[in-house]
Amino acid sequence: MWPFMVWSMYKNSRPAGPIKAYKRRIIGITAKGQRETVTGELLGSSGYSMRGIYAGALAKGDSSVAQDLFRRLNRVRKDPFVELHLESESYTVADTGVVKQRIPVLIYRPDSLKPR
Amino acid sequence: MRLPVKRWLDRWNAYWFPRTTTFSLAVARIVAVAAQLFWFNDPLESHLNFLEKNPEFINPELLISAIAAVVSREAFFNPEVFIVLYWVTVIAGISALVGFLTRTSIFVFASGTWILIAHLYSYGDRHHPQAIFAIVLMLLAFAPSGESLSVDALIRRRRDRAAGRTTAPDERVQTAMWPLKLAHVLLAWGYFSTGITKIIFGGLDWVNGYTLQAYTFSDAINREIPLGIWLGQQHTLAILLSIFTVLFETFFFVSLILPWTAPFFFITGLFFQIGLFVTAGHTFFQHMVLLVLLLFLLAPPWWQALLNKYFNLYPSVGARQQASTPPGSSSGQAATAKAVTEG
Repeated sequence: MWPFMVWSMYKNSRPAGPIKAYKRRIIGITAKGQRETVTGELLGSSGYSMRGIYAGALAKGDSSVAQDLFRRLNRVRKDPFVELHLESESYTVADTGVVKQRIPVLIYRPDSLKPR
Repeated sequence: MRLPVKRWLDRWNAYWFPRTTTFSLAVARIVAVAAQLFWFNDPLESHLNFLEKNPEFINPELLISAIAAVVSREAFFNPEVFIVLYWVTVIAGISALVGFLTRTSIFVFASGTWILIAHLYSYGDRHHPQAIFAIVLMLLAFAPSGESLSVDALIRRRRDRAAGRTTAPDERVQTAMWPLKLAHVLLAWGYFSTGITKIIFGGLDWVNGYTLQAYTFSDAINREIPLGIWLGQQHTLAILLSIFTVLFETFFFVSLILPWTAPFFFITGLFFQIGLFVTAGHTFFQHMVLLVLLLFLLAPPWWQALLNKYFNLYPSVGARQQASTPPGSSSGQAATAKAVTEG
């Protein structure tokens, strides 16, 4: 119960291995063909939720999250989203510095169960 | 020979209820309320946006569920009510800041702040930075935080003068320090539970360097923080900082047991929080404010003397030290009487 909280953030450890991070964005394509970045503000949620919950689940191919996103985003829109694109890059720490790699875009549609 | 229970009770009272002026508490009130009002307050637009975009809560906070259960969601959680709630909270904050109807104002301000923050955390995620600070704000409503540096004090003095009563300009009470002491305990508890869970869940691997590198690198990449991206590539430094983090968090409570160490922990804590902000974007500004307040207001005599020597911040440090001796002790009463006489 906020503000009486459990203070166990960042408690988990990880074994030795490559240091890797992902940066993800969700881009919505509207029925009129407009591209719009789906932000926490647009969704009515926090930026952390967008990155940590939605983008993370979409990256794993969770289409139920995509359907939930379509439902929430299109609830009050006049120009509804017909596609959600998950654009991602991975960043890996290497001896030469940080290596950036683009990851193929995942596309979700309101009527399809799997991303393509 | 005194009974052990009596001795412990005296120690307990000496810790929580030393006889002091209300000046430190008033400074804490002004700084804390001003920080919440002008720095930490989330904009009204965020609340209105959340209310507009979400027909229902996602994991509502208990406080929000309780309000929704009593008043109903539709009746309370709508833009009209939130506009009123927001502005009532702001006005109560301004009133608390200047010290007008101080304790009532702080209670309303803290209650409004609790509801507003809990509302933002009822849509899928929640975070820690505001928690302890919000509790401390509420504590100020239950202590004489408007007895100094306030409109209330001004009005009281004027009334006393009109009635021909004389009031001690530097009145001492036993209830002015417990909110600051409890803030210290809450911070110690927060840090301890964060540190101990790292040890229990993360084990030795938490200090292998890779763990901190991964956390920092991920946060810094997503928040585009160059210093964090650089730190994410420094393995040896990450090992050292991991050890420091676990030690600092787990042993911050030592500052409660050995008060002379408190300034070291408060200053270290301040740099720790600044470090987390500039490398990983963790916005624990509320902790920073609390640590600064405790550093200056809850400081042990040696620290006050040091500050006094170089900055003349505690001109009456000697008198106040004497006056802070446990209530009930003859030396304490004598010192208090002396200090009040000196005024």
